[in-house]
Amino acid sequence: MAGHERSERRIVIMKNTIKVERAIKNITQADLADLIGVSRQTINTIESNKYVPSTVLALKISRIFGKPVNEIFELDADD
Amino acid sequence: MKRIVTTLSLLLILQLVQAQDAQTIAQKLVDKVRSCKTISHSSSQKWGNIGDANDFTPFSGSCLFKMVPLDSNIRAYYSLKANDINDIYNGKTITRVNAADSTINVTDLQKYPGERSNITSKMLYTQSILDIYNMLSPIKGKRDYKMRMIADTTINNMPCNRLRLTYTDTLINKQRTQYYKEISINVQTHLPAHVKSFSQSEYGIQIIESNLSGFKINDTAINQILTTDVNEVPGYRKIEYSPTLKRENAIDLKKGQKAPEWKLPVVQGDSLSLSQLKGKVVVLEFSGVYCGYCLVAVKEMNKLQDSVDSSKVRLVSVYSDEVKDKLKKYVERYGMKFTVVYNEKDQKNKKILRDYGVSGIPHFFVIDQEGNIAWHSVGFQTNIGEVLIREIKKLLK
Repeated sequence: MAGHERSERRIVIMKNTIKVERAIKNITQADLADLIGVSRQTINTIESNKYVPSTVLALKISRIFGKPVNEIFELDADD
Repeated sequence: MKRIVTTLSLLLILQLVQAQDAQTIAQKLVDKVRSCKTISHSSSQKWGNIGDANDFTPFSGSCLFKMVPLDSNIRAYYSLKANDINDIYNGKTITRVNAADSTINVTDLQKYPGERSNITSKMLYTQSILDIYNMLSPIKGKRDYKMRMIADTTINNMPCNRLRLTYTDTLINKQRTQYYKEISINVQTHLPAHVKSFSQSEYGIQIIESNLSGFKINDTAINQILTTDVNEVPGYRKIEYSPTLKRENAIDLKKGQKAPEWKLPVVQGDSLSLSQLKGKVVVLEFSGVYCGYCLVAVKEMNKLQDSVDSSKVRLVSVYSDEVKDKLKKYVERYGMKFTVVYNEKDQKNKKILRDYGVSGIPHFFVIDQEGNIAWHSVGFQTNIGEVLIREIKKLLK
């Protein structure tokens, strides 16, 4: 119970490596946005961790980079 | 007692030897790649067991890459070149696409009408050797992993060493395995032959397997295209397909468009529908309890609630997949002064999310007195409070 409460109190930030993956594949934010059918702003906010993508969106991104979602998105607790 | 100590130390030594072996094997691969001027290879990838997203079925693709590691101190630079002709396997049929410098809509796959997924000749659905190189090289990313050697194996009748890289996540004291990767490295060539990634998370289980083959090292014919044999894929059928350039946005809601109607239970009361709010400016925010910036947005929404005339403006926050009691505690804890509506947990019909094209949180909408969409914005921004006030004022004029 205590553990449960603690986990609720923490702010969980989703970190991601999209920027790095983009650099590896040599594509821009706009390219990626086009590829998965969202706006460039969406990609921008995801990259800066200000937007938490839905499961489907995260899976689409992961498929573009050919990596599991876990490898791209990482949960991080910010106490 | 002595025997136990001996056994234990033997085990320890064995483990150390094993660890060293894994390092040596990894180092050999890194050295090999580093010494190459160019490497090209073809690879095919297979996805399986991917979460609950129904539009993702196992598939494989093939392509050719080139890599030119330039400086051992920096991330390897590489250039990619896809086959001009790509065969894309969607689980049932293979689509042949011409990938030469164009964007290709793979959605031809009429079986998945909901999906819009394109590839360009630059985009490759493969596990690149570069990834493996970066992973094994000492210049690795900030993520830590444990590497060990597991049972040897054979890939295409070639003996291989198998390394397992285990990554732990940062939430529970780096204790929980986030995912692991198994890389099979050819004993003779020191090049990877097979990679398997396995991960389990809130997104479900994902398994990605890649076969790497057809390596050409220091080849001069840069543009030479390797052909990949796809005949072995069951149900193989070639389809002639000409690509078309397509740019679409998932969110099709536009300014002035009628805001989709919704009716949802309210945490602080019974229920609320959009039509009930006619005549008022509505700020609709899509949010979640697990999202850090949404919590920052709560503070902004509270500030906003204090500064607007509540007879003219209504602030509503939508939480999905929630249990009322739990959400109520959350609402009380953070002193939310605005209306909080929610979608019941496990309720399959998340109509409001679909209707508004919400693909993540937070997402803000401003709806005018007539029930039309006046403005919307994806994600958190530091000046969201000011922006919302500006948009509200425009409508109250």
